[in-house]
Amino acid sequence: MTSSNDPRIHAIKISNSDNVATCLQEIDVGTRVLVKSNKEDLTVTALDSIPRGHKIALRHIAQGNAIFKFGEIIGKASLSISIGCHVHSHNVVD
Amino acid sequence: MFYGFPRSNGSVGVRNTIGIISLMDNVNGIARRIAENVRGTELVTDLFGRKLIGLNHEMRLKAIYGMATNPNIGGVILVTLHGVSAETFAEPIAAAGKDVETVIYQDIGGTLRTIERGSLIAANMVKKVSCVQRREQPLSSLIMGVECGGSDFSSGIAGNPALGHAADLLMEAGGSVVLSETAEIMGAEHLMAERAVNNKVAKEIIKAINEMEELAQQAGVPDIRRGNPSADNIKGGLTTLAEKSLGAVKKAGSKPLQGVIGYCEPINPDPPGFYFMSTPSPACESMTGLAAGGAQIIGFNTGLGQPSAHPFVPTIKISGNPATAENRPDDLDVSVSDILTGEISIEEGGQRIYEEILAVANGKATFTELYGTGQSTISIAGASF
Repeated sequence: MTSSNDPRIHAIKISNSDNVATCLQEIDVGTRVLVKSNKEDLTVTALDSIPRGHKIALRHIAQGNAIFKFGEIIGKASLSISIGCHVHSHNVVD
Repeated sequence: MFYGFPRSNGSVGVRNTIGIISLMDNVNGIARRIAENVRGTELVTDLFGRKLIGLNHEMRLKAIYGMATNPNIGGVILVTLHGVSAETFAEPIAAAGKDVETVIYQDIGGTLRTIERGSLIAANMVKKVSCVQRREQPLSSLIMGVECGGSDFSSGIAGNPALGHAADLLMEAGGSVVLSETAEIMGAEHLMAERAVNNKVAKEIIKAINEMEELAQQAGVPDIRRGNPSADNIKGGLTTLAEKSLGAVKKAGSKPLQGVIGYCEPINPDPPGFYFMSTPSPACESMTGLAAGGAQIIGFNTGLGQPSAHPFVPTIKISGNPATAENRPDDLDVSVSDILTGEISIEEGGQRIYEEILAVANGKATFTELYGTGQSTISIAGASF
């Protein structure tokens, strides 16, 4: 669990072109998630509760558009995904 | 550049060891005692070695030849039961310009006399090779294998991407990087094929995967991809097989794929750059392939901790997991766990690993070298994937 005044980073974005980040701890709905990236750090507000090790959307991803992690396509959005949503099997296909 | 040991065939060692290689399981104990008697030696023993046929016989010939001619080895002693096996293995090694001696139990006599003879030969070989000095060498003569084992949550997001950045730095400086473990790239093979420098190489990577799948089918496993990502992977946050595989592939950096190499075959990178060797995924078998291919150094990322190393190839242990970094200070040569605490970026972690790679190439010891815990394992075809 984390709160919005926790100074530590909450998620990590691996490559600059990624549209998801990996959460380093369990995230509550409404948390301002601090995302570490190789460029500048960013924040997004979590719209879902997200388990540790799972992905959070950093941008709006339209249905059918690619999910980028490691700078590579890891799957496609099976639903429209809003910034801050949990990105996993329920809204991603191969 | 770095400082390494020049060899007569133009290759460069980062170590200057005498290799003691047992050719058969029945003389492993004798080979071990010889290696224990003489400092400056490293031991390779293996199970099997007798009555192997077909593909497994060929694999063993390639593996022993490759390990004996690894640039880190200044000379090699083959320990065996009888003269026929000694000649079969020794002739091509000698032809490759490597100092090779044989210790043949049936010719020498009893166990103690064999150990004594082998130890004296080893001592004299160490004396001779200890005269070779490190000289300035271009990084184009350095081949690094990349491995991961004991993978966890941190591997795909911290340790592997950081090792991948170090791999990119090494290749940008002229060096070569070899990825292995064919089953681990299933799901990312189309991306590997896209990274290939030409169609021929793209076809080779797909062929390597198809061959591994065929071997699995012959062994009675109809679909080795099934159940991947596993329920545990999905619970841990991995959504697709491509995501899982990319987490592993990421440790080799991002350069174009120059070629695909068979298990235990010479890597000979021309041009230098990124290569793939088709190996099973257990680390000891895979690293034995890399050692036989001529890799002089291995970067090994671990999440939960994994102690293995090859006896002929300094193996740098890396972790991005803060708990592992804290609990295993005796195993990790480099920690990049501060990526996950947000203190450093993946690139900064990669830079730290790259500096350790150069230091080890220049002679800095790794933990597994100091403990003597290396292990060589020649794979058995169709037995592991």
